[in-house]
Amino acid sequence: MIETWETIWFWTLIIVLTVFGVLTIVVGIGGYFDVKTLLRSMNERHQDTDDLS
Amino acid sequence: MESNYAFTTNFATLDWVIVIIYLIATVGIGLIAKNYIKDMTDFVVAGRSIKSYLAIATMLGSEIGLVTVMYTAQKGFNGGFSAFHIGIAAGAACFLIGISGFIVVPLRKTGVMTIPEYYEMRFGRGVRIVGGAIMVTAGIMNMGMFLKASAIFLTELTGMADPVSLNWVMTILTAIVLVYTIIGGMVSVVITDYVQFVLLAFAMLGVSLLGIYQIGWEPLVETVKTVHGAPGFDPLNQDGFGITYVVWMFFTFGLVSCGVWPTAVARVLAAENERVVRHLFVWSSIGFMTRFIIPQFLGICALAWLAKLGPTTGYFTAEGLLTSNSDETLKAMPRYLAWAIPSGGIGLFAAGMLAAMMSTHCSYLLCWATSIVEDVVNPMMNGKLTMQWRMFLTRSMIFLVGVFLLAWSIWYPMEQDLLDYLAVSAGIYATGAVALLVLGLYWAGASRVGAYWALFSGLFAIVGLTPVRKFLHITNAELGLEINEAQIGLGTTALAVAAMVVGSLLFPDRTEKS
Repeated sequence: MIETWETIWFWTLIIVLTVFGVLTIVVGIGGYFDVKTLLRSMNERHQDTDDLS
Repeated sequence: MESNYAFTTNFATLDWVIVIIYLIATVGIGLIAKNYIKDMTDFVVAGRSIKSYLAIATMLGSEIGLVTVMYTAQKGFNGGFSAFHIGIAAGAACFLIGISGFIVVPLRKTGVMTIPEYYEMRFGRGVRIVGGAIMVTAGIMNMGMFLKASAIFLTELTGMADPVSLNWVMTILTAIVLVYTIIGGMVSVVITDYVQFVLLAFAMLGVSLLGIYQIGWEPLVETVKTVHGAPGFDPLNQDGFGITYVVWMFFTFGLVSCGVWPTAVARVLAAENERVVRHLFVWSSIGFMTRFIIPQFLGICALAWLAKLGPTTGYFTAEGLLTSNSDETLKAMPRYLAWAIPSGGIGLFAAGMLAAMMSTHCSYLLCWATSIVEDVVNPMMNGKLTMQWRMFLTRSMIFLVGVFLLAWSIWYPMEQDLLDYLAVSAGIYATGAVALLVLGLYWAGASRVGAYWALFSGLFAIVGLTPVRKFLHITNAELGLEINEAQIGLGTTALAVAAMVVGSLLFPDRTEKS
């Protein structure tokens, strides 16, 4: 019984490490562009508000 | 099992330089972010302009905090591989919420900024004030151990032996977090969360691979077999976690943590649209699983390392029994890392962990302070507070909550695993909130009276805290029963749901609100 659980947890760990590694790279690159977009869109929103007032 | 064993660390001057550079850069981000804050929407939800990748990074950045790493590592240390079930439960719940949109999508559609704001929309202002007060109280109690765990980590990692240094570290960390949260609001939170996520993710992956390389898989398995036996592998084994605990974890670190906990829901409400919300949860499920499994694995590495050192460390008796001292088991993982990671690398790791700690703290501080003002103070003033006053009060609350946390961290005697403390304190709010959100969103018959009953029923969760049980003389020894935190948590949830249903049926609202 312990051997079955050992195998399950071994592969769980391997899968978690692999998938998390891929997620980190994807989110790391995508997040960089999203930060730039966020700051730009906030600036534009403030400019629109200033123009209206 | 007292011991004067001197644990060593590889933390050197180079590592201090790395950490200090990181801290300066973080405060700098707060200062830059200040330029983008013009109103309350900017301060609280970053203008609702956060897109998918950043939403995922910021969600994981604040949810994979240093305290998470500490309490989950402690669970791995005390529970062995079977503790991995918590990560699987959390990941599965997060994924299912993302696929189904359960709670989060209808909540986002309402356009509210906080959960208590939804309470007001659905049940009236009184429910918002009571619900907001309970949420904030539970949340601040929950956060109360964050500083202590973070300070223990840093003092053990850096090798600061003086006990007074622990309190100083907590004070300095609080000050830094307060500065950049107060000035930068949600914009500084999301940017530091992003930086933190990237740093922390690589640090966690690196130390996990280092653990496998240094100790090896087989010795890890053999240690868990020797120390914990079958319960160290089988989460359903009643001598270990058992089925009730597994269900409690699915509920608390799955459903509540992803769909009800205000800091997670804050990301939902700050997301650009419902599509982003679904993406956020589907992809974050990987992180929600990882944030438990990787630190738990590090806890197991610490167990194997300490077992090899033998009983001189104070962690084991001569017969090989593991200590039950929660402060000592909390220190095991940072002590292992201080030995395992070489100089230079340990500075980067410490910076990643500091980042993790600060992004979690500022995210939580912002959330609770905002809730005090927006969900308790402003509704009590009939919504008449001006924008300037709300901003001023929010910033003041951030400071006051920070001071309270410092005092709580120093004085509260934990006396149970940190993960269990967090689950119980979260339950004080979450058990009632689950009833209000689920039934409020999906059952037209949910009424105001039912909502009040459910919120007050949730308060019973507090008896899951060991010092409270001792104070009330309802410990297992005094009752002659075997009641654990899991049973209390699940029982309180059932009570809150039942209270909501019965209260709503007996006292329906005069005009039904959808």
